[in-house]
Amino acid sequence: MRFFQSFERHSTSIALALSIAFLVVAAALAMWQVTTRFVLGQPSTWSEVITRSAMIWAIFLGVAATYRHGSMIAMEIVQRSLPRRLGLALFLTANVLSAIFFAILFWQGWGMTERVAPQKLAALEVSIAWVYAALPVGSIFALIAIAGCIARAWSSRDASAAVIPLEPAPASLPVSAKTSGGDGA
Amino acid sequence: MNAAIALSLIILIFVGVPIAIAIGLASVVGIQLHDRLPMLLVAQRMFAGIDSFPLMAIPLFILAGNLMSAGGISQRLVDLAKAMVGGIQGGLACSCVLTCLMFASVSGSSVATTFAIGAILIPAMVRHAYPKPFAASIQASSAELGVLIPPSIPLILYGVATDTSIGQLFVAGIGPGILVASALMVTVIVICRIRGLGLQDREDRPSLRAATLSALPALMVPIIIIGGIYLGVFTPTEASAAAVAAALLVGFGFYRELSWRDLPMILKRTVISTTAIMLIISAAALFSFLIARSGLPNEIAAWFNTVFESRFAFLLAVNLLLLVVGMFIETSAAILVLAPILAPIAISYGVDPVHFGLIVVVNLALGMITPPLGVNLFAACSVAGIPVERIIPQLLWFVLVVFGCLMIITYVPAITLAPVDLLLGGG
Repeated sequence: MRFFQSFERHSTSIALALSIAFLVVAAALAMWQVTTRFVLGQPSTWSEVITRSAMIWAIFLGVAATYRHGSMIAMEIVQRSLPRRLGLALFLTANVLSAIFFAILFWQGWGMTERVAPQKLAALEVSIAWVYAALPVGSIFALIAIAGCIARAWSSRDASAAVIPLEPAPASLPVSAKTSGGDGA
Repeated sequence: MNAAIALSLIILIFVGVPIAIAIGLASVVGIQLHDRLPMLLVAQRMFAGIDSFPLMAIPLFILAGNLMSAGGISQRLVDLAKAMVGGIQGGLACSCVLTCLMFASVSGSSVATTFAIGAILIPAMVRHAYPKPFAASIQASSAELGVLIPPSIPLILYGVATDTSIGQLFVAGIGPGILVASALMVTVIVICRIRGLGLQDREDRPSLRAATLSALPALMVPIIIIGGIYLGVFTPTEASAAAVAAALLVGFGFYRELSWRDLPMILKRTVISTTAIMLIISAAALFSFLIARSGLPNEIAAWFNTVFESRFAFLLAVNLLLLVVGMFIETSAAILVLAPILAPIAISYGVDPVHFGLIVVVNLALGMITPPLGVNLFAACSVAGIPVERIIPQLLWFVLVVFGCLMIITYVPAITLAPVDLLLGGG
């Protein structure tokens, strides 16, 4: 169990680091795109495609860390208002269901990746499969991270142990950065 | 098939499956029950749903907002607001509303606004003898401005989902934003008078001149974003890229509060917030595709057309529907699923699509400050360190005031559309 938890920590931090790298690439290219349009008078055609593709990689690689840090947006009120044992059971069920979804996404994402292999990205001589691969690859990291959440909650018999805070909470602020995860809103 | 999708979606959300995954799994159930749809659709639609350049504005605005709050902008905006309106009884509470209005012009999210401004102003209000639940409820309600004033993530989503100009939606958000902000300030002043709060608010205020000078670089970002979009220089995605560049310049160049060591944490937070929201968008694209194929939107449209005869009745029905939906469903998911269904019906009743977008967003934003799923309430209470139950009795007046504004925004289209006509020359 401890071996797996340390494996999960490493795999999720690799996914997070790659996700950040893709975000930086996407942001830098978006700025480059604006610059070319204003300074050179015409937008570069390839940078828009790569921005979109890099962002797709950033998003699917980001899923693992979003689970690990408890930032997936969910309605947890039912889980929390139930007695602890029952709440734990519900939490574990929710995570198993998440795992089933990412297993499907891995499988179908792989199917799409193979199917689009002959198609090229617009303006580039690169196969779209390189972008579609974000789905199966991200799903594997997500499955490992979800298994990590299940393992942590199960071994301490406590659903809240599944979440590792992203940053240590400052003294003046109580924990629960739960809602800080994204919000559309 | 539709009943099975709806039922599984509700069960999954109640079990606590993340919203994005619940939407995805409900779609899987729908595809399974349909005998001619391939399961490959799951991957194909989820990919296509986020493979869009206009949507790239969302992560970039999240990044710009995170860079700005780490770069020292929040405190300067608070000082400027205090210098402007802090001199009256209840002035500190008014400053909270005004700061949120200004912060909203660099942030597209109301939860981010709650954390950035609440962390400074809730403790400050508590020091000035405001009760904690009252301070938290002011913060939660004002943060709603985050999604009205451009840039706004929900407005981007509405624009993408209904093919409406995001630039026009952004300009249209300004009127409603100012209306809600003014109404909240008046409410705060009246409550403070009646309850005798905020008597010491005149103390420790910076001078207007010093505060304005110090906030000037921070105000540069909204000027770039809104000015660029007004003048037609930028598309919203280009504006978001420019906002990132400006945020780096302000944080590193002017305030020098941003350091290379802060960047990893800022990027981590950005990636995680981005994933949490974009995954919902991705799954909602799959879900909307199935709903659209099932013919449900036409059935709903036909139903609306037979039941509601006038535009007035239709809008009132939409108001009530979205009020209930907003209480239980996350805003982005609600917009992505409902807007493509409702917007064409609204157009058939003669409602301008830009105006309708603002109605939808203001309406759903009300759900952010109503229990049981008010994200702003959770955020404000976590900053204030009080349980959510304690904030609820304080909310009544604020919810009523925002609801009143919603009615005005719904039935007086000029508030949203006049600036669009004025600045963008009609549309």
